Formats: sequence, C-alpha cells, structure tokens
Amino acid sequence: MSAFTWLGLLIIIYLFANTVLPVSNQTLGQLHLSESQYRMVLLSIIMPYCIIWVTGFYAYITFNGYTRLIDDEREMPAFRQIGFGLQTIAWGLAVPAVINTFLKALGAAHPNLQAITGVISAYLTLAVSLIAFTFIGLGARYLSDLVRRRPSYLGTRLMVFGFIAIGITYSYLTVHAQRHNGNPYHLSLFATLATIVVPYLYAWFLGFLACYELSVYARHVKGVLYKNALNQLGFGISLTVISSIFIQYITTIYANNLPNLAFIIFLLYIFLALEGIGFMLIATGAKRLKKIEEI
Amino acid sequence: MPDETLYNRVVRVTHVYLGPAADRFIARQVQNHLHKQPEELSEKDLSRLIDWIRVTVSLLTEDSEVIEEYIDQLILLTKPSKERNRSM
Repeated sequence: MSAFTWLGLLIIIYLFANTVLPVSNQTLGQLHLSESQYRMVLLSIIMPYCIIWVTGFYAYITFNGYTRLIDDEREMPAFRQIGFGLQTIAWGLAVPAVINTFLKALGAAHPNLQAITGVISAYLTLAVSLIAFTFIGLGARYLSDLVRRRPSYLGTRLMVFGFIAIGITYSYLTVHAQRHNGNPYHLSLFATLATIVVPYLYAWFLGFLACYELSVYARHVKGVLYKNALNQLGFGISLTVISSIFIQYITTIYANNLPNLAFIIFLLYIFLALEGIGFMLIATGAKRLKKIEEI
Repeated sequence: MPDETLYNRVVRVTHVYLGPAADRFIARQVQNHLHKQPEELSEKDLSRLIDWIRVTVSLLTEDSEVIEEYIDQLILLTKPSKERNRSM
C-alpha cells in the first residue's frame, strides 16, 4: 500500500473517531463547552489539520524522490537524513493524532485510565519531535560541514538568547499547569521536568540549530540556480520545523486551560497554516532540484 | 590549468550556476545528447553541447540574463586559451 493510501485510511479513522468516540466530562468542564460545541471546535481544527497531513506527505515523498536521484553523491547522506526527519514529521502528525484520539476516548470511558493514557500521549508526541529533529539536525550539520562553514558568532548568540527565552517561558507554563491546572501530564513535578520539559527543549534546540545550519549551507553553497531551489527548500524546512515547535508550544498553553480559547485556536490556525506553507515550499524546492537532476 | 580536460572546464563553468549538480548535469547532457562518455568530449562537440545546454537551462530558469551569462562563459571555452584569458 502506498503512503497516500495509508494516509487516506488514517484520515477516515481520525474523522470517524472524533465524531463518535466519547469525550471526557473533565475536558468539557476545563474548556467550558458542551459536547456538541466541543466537537464543532474539534472539527474546525481537524479539517485543516488533515489538509496539512496531506501536504506533509506530499513534501516528504517529493523530497525523498529528489534524494533517490542523487544516490552516491557527496550531499546524499545529508539529504537522506533530512528526508527521514521530514518523513517522521509527516507520519508523526497523523499517527499520534489518531492514537491520541483513541487514548482520550479510553480515558473518557475509564477515568481510572486517564493518567496512563495522558502519559502515553505526551511521550508519543515527544518521541516524534526527538526523532525528527535529531535526523534533520544530523543532515543539516553534514551539509554545513560540506561547505566548511560554522554558524556565526552573532547568529549563535542570538539563537541561544531566543531559545533561552522560549525555554524559560515553556518551563514556567508547564510547572504552572502541573501545580494549578490539573496536572495535564499526570506526572510528579520532577518527572514532568526531567521527562517532558528537558527532552522537548532538547528536541527544539536541535530543530532551531538545524534551521540555522541549513541556512548556512544555503548561503555558502555554489550555483546560482541550485541555490535558488535550495533556498526555497531550506526555507520550507525551517518554516515547518519552527511552526511544529510553536504548535507543540501552544498545545502546552492549551493544556494550561487559559481562558482565551478563541485566541489559542487562532494562533494554532496560524502556525498550522505556516506549517502547511512550509511543506509546500519543501515540495516545490525539491521539485526544482529534481528538475536539475532530470533534464 | 593547462592539463585540465575540456569536460572539467565545462563542469567548472557550470559549477557557478548549478553548484554540486554541475558534474552530473554536464555528464547527462554529453551522454544523452551527444551520445558520448563525458571523458570523450572534444572541442568540436562543444558548440552542439552549448546549444543543448541553452535549451535545458531555459527549462530551469526564465532569467535570460543568467542564461546568457552562462552561455557566454561556455563560448569562451571554444576560443584559444590566449583569447580566453583576455576575455576573462
């Protein structure tokens, strides 16, 4: 079965599950919504989400198609690793979402299982980030080695400064949720910090660093026409990685039960749209690179 | 670089436009359009190769300035080395 057939199946299961499976009263209470309102909100997020899955699959399949064309070339190992990272992001959008839907329903039907289903769900999403950003980071590092360039002094410091600001806010919000908003991760404070916050921050750092190293490669690689296509691809990867980081970030805020749900959903839409645009840029950039290798 | 083969000189010029894809691109043009192995490329094949490159690069970009600049650099390779050095 092709990847798109699997994706079609996942979308059908996901839509069906979100329409019929039970919702926990705790979730409805936290969001101050009735069950029908909750399903409407959920569907309004799910529909664009499914479109983004499709763009994600299209992007990684096109990218891997390009990678196969440059078999045995110097830059191939790097592109293969990045391709695997993108593939993990694409599958990692769809598969955990479907599994999480069933876990949530299981938790709603059996409240004593809510803690364990919550923990599995959190670790599943975390695992996707760790695997995807590790591979994209490895590929980006390999590419920046090829042009023998390192991130600049100023660039590194600005990135670390931005990352610390994001990391501190994220840690604060997570600890706040753990103490005051029903402990969404169902873990002790130490376990939350050690097994959720630290690995997430590590994965995000890898993601940011990968974007930076990709931009270093794109800036210094030779070839006017090659560079144009590569810039599009690199920008697409960066946009996808950064958007997916912010989506994870916003999901944490959502777990914090902030009163302004509409604003959070609005932010979520923006980053989902950016992630979709990122996937499309990856696909068009990879297509342009593919064309160079085919004609 | 007096010992450099014609094929390598064409790749070197192409590298400015196609970067890491240059070698593969030229090898493909020589094999597919001239039906030769890259190392068999000779001076008398060059003008035909340049024509093919013009056609294929036009499929990659609409920027005529880039195409003309690239073709001009390739045409310089058809000239004797003294004249080429003067033009560069």
